[in-house]
Amino acid sequence: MTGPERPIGEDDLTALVDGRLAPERAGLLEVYLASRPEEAARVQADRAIRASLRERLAAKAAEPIPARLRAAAVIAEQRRARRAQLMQVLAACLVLTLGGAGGWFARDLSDRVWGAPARPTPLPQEALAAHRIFTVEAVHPVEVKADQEAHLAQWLSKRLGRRLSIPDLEGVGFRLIGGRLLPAGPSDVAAQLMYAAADGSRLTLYVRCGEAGRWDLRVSKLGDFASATWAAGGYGYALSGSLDPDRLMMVARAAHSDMAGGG
Amino acid sequence: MDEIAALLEPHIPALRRYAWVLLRDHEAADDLVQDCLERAVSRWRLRRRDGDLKAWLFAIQHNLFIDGLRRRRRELLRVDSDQVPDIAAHGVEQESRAALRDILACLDALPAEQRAVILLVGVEDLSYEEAARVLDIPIGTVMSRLSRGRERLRGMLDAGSGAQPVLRRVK
Repeated sequence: MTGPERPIGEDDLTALVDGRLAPERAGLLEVYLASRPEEAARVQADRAIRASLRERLAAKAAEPIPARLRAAAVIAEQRRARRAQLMQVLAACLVLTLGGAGGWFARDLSDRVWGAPARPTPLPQEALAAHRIFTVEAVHPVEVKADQEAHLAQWLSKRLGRRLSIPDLEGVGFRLIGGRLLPAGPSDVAAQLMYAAADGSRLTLYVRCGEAGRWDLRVSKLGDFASATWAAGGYGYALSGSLDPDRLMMVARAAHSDMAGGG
Repeated sequence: MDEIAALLEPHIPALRRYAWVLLRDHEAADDLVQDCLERAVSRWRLRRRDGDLKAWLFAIQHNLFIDGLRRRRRELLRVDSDQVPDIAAHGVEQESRAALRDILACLDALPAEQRAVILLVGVEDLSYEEAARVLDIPIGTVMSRLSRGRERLRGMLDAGSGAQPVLRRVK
């Protein structure tokens, strides 16, 4: 009986305690423990501890669910919040459109007076608009997937007119999904790289050319979303997601230093 | 939407219990569960169809709990330390000395990572694979944390000799 079988391991003993032992191992374990009273006693003790922990905690799970945790209540509240947020975004779009149109009509004037056309869309809003459109995509979140990372970097670098090194954020819990190219304003382009955490939450790194400003890392909040941005050398960078600002800042620092180091 | 509610609701009691054991505060625990449910609803389309809903929900809640810990840095230092088997964590101070023999007090004295697997597998009935997915660690690590955690509990409850039924000592 013990001939070709796998030898008994710690995992068998653990599985025995949890009642998860495969039936074909049960007989083997019985024989094994029969001649080892100390180990049998240990399994017995672990089982008793497990049972008493379950007993101790059973009451908490048996409590009635409070009204605010009813799934229907959570869903209704979320719908309301989303509507409010949509209104906020629509209002922001309206302001941007008016501002953009105004800027477009005033461009000759501004060119003449100030020497450079004004760009009315702030970077965080622009990046968040792109973030919101593509992160909800389950099937086509990106144009080029992460398995062609070298090609993705080459393509986006060419279109952005600078070498784009794709930051590795695995160390801070985000895996690259891929990226895409986007228009930015009337004549510029932007790249969007998308990352996902183990729980499915998504982050985007938006890189656009034609950014006149220059600033160090800072976080802006818009509704449930936050965006960490920085700008240098004619390029603007925005890392966006629905993370809490501290965590976002931590990830943004990783991206910032990775990009500064890599190119 | 009703379908989402019908799928979520059966898991709420277990999520509340896990949150309560981690935080040991009823209000804070329900806040954590509410955050978890809100996130689950807003990301409903991003969940893996073939994946297990229970493990997905526990993963969201666990990550929110860890994010919360990061925000409260001092607590992080205490909970993450691997070297504190004798220092009971929060909640224990208020209780009487007699309660130190309580199984929960012993659980509190475990490192956070061992406590999590013992709860997920031993109480919430997640499979080893599901617990590995929730904590984002290899399955072998789940197994070793389980056996190390149980060994410590056994030591604390002085059940190693095996002759004494544990339940009598606990209550």
